[in-house]
Formats: sequence, structure tokens, C-alpha cells
Amino acid sequence: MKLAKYFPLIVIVLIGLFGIYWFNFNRPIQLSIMMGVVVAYLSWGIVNHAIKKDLHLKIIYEYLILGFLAILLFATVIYST
Amino acid sequence: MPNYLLHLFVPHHTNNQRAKLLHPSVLSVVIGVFVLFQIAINQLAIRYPQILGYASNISTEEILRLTNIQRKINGAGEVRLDSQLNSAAAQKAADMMARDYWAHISPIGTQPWAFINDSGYAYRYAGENLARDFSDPESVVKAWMASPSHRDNLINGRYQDMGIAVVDGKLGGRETTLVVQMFGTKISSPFAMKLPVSISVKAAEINQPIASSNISRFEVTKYASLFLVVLFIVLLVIDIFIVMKKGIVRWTSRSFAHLLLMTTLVGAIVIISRGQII
Repeated sequence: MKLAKYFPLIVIVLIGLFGIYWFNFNRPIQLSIMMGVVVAYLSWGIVNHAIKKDLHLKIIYEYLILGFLAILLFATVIYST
Repeated sequence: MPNYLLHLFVPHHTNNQRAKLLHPSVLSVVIGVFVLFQIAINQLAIRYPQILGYASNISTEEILRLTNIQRKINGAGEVRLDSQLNSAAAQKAADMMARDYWAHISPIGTQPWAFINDSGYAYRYAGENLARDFSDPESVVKAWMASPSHRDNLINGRYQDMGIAVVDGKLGGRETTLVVQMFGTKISSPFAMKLPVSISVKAAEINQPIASSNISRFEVTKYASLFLVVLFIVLLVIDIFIVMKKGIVRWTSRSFAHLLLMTTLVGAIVIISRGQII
């Protein structure tokens, strides 16, 4: 497993995590940041698989469903108070 | 290990070399179950508030005390409760509940200062902090202090008076406790209006805990979500380890990318505290 290809994604999620910490108590901004992280994760997945020439709808669906799960869990927690 | 457990949790020839729980079809079921769980939690909180209801215990005196502690630490003079500002804060809170909005400016464009003017408090300087969904006064003041703009208001040496309203009710269809904090400094002005102050009494009356639940919906949701995310992290770590160890070649998405997303989600959920401020 080559970790270098994950470097952009690692940087994005770390920035996202910092943003969520920085904007604690501001729910709309926190949710926007999490959505941004998920879009970046999805984009990274598509680009990475396209480069490796193994992109398929089934693969995009896997990223989509995990991304959706992440947003659902996060939104549920922040709006459950 | 029994075969059905291997099938569910470990890359195996029966699950196309990926734990069945990580297959999109099973993930869809997990999402559905989680949504149903949340609906059940919400219904439980509505029908049996004594079990899983919304609970808060915020007193105006405690907000005043904690505000003055922070002001003292930061070299600002103490503020004292002002009945007119109390009235303005209570009117603002009542307006937010009545018009169902969560903002400094109302949907019809009413500024916070309008409530202060209406209370008869003629101000030279004025400021407003809002909070909702907190369960105790310490968390409210801590959240305000953590936000630069709210902190500037809270420890601003120009303010001499403070009004506070703690109002329980429904905002956006959800039970909440709304905290309105207004700061001001009076000017001696011929324009100062003398209006009756009646809402401050009401604010004091409604400043009571609204439920006696030991478990909050926020905590239940938070820990249920954490359980789910940690489960996926464990599955992904097992997946990455076994695929690397056995040198399995397969056509799937990248487990390490999923692991990064789930780890971020755990961090984000842990960071989140109860309550909102603007």
C-alpha cells in the first residue's frame, strides 16, 4: 500500500477536523465542513480509480454510500441536542 | 471462528474477499436501521420525556456570576443585572419562540437593539449573545468564551449592565432552552423612554428546569453513532491487514480511504459539544 497517494486526502481530513473543532457550537458551518470533507473523499476516490483505470459505477457507489453514512451520522449527532 | 462470523467480519472466499458488513447492500441496511433507531429515539423523547427527555438547569444568577468571573479575570468591571435589559432579553426570547427563528435579526428585520429601545433602556453601547440547547450555565459561558466575537461582548469593559432571559420552549419543532444575554451601558438622555417592565417577572418564572431526565437524546445518539463508526473502523483495519498479509487482489474501493473518513468522523463526533451559540 503506497501511502503517498493518500497524502492529499489526509491533509483534507485534518483541515476538516480542525475546522469542526474551530467552529464548535456553530452547527451549519460544522455540517458544511463535513460535507466538504465527504465531497473531497468522493473526488479523491474517483480520480484515484480513474488514474488506475479501474473506475466503475460499483466503486463510486461504495464511496457514495460511506460518504452518505458519514454525513447522516454527523448531522444526526449535531442536531440531536 | 464460525463461518457466518468470518463471512460478516473478515475478507473470505464466501464474501468476495471483503467483510459482508462492508458491502454496499449491507451498508444500506445499516443506514435504514440507524434511521429507524433515530425515529424511535425521537418518539421516545416526545412520548416519555421522563426517560429520554430534554433537560436543562440554567439560572440567570449563575450566568451573571460566571460572566462576572470571566470579566474579572480579563480586567473588565463587573456588570449588574438591569431590569430593563432583562425585559429586552425576555422580549427577544419570546419573539424568537413566537416567530420560530434562531438569529440575531428577526425574519421581519427587527434588530436586537429594537428590543432594548422598547424596554426603555437608553444605551450608549449594547451587545447581544445567544445560546440554545445547553444543559448547564457553565457550558454556555464556556462556549461564549471560546468564540472570539461572543468573548469580545462578554469581557467588554464598556458594558456596565446585563440582562438575561432563559426561556424553555420549542424552536424549529424541538424542545430547547434559549439563553439571551444582552449587555449595555446607559446614557442620560431626554429620549430615554419609560416603559413598564413586565416581562422580566415572566422570565424569572419560566427559568426552571423543564425535565428531570438523566439521559439526554444527544448522548444516546452520540454514543450509538460512535459505536457504529468504531465498528466500521475495526472492520476496515481487519480488512486492510488481511488483504496485505494474504496479498489478495480484488476490484473494490480503497479501504484506507474509508478508514481515513471514518477516523475523521470519530474525531468530529468526539469534538462536538452540546449546544449552539450565535
